[in-house]
Amino acid sequence: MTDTPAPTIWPALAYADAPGAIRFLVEAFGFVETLVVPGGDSREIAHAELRWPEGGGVMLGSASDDKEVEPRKPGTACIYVVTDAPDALFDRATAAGAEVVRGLRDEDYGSRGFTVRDPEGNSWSFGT
Amino acid sequence: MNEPLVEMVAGKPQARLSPLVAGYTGYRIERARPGVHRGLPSRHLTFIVTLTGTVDLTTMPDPAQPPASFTTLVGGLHAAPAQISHDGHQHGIQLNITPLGARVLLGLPAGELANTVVELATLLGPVAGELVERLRAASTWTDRFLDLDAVLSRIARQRDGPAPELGWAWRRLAASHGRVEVASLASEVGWSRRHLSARFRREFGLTPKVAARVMRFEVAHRLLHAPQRPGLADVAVRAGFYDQAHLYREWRELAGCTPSRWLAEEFPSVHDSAPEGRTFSTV
Repeated sequence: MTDTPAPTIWPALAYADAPGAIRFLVEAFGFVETLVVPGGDSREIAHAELRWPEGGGVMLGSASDDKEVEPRKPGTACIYVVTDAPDALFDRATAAGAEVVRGLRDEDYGSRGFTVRDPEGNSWSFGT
Repeated sequence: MNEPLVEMVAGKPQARLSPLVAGYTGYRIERARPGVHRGLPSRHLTFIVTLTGTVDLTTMPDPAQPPASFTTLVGGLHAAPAQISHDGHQHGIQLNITPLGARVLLGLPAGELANTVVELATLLGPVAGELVERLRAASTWTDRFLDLDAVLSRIARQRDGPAPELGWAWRRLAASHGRVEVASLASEVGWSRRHLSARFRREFGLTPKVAARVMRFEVAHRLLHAPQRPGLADVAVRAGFYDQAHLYREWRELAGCTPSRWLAEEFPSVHDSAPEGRTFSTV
């Protein structure tokens, strides 16, 4: 178990296929599921929470028109995640099929990182 | 990478299963120190499917039942601890089944499983094997919880529930977390105390008095498990014990040790292993 403080800011995402998205976020990036609340229909997720092992986390749910916490349209989020190991993460994410938007590179402001899209189009940037 | 890994994931079943299953907990513990974990009494039947390894019960809730190892198990309500010996690696899913769920999902009253532990296949037949395969093949807890929803919905059968008086008495007792007196429960139901106790025990496996003790114990257990743990005197008051000495006596009886020893042995590191969900938590 990590010693990071409990996150106090939670980006919230919506997905057309929430179970598929969770599978991708776990396999491609290494998010860790902490809570899953299914919705009324099968394969629908009312609410889920994923922890980022280096601190923080995201919330997500199945996309629907009556969402109050998550965006109503999937695929529109841009999220930046801090990591100590961008190279290994880039390999892992691309091996799992993440679409590369901007390859691994050193930025002039001193960070090393990359940007990919998840299967529903959300942009995920990772950097040190 | 020699740090122990503790992953606990809380899940809720879909709404129409919620009267039958109080919650799912996925757990994966690796590289922990080998030891003994106590299976403590609660108001739910225990249903476990391991994803790797086995659950090795070295002491059954009823010590007359010999020790055994299980890849899947269902345990009835009990009022004494079970002991599970582990090598520092535990990986599986636990479901908390309500007494109503025992009839609808498992096909028998909870009372028939009281103080016993059986293989899942004994109750579910070939569905047990299918469930194990699906849960082991899935790559996320979300998919496993959805698989459980699908399989449990399929096996749920319209069956007679407990007699309305018994269902009502259980819900009333549970809602009060074991604080309703058995005498007033009996008069509210309109049965003699003796008749209520006998019928209650046949249905659920515990007498109302013992069930009430288990429910109060469970409240104390939950408070001790919470990330912001109150002091023991506070726990005693909030769970409905007369005083701390009463809390200790009950723990010795139901957990087999004092609360302080339980805390020291189950949580040797400062960190609790309670599920980390922000908005919900389970026992």
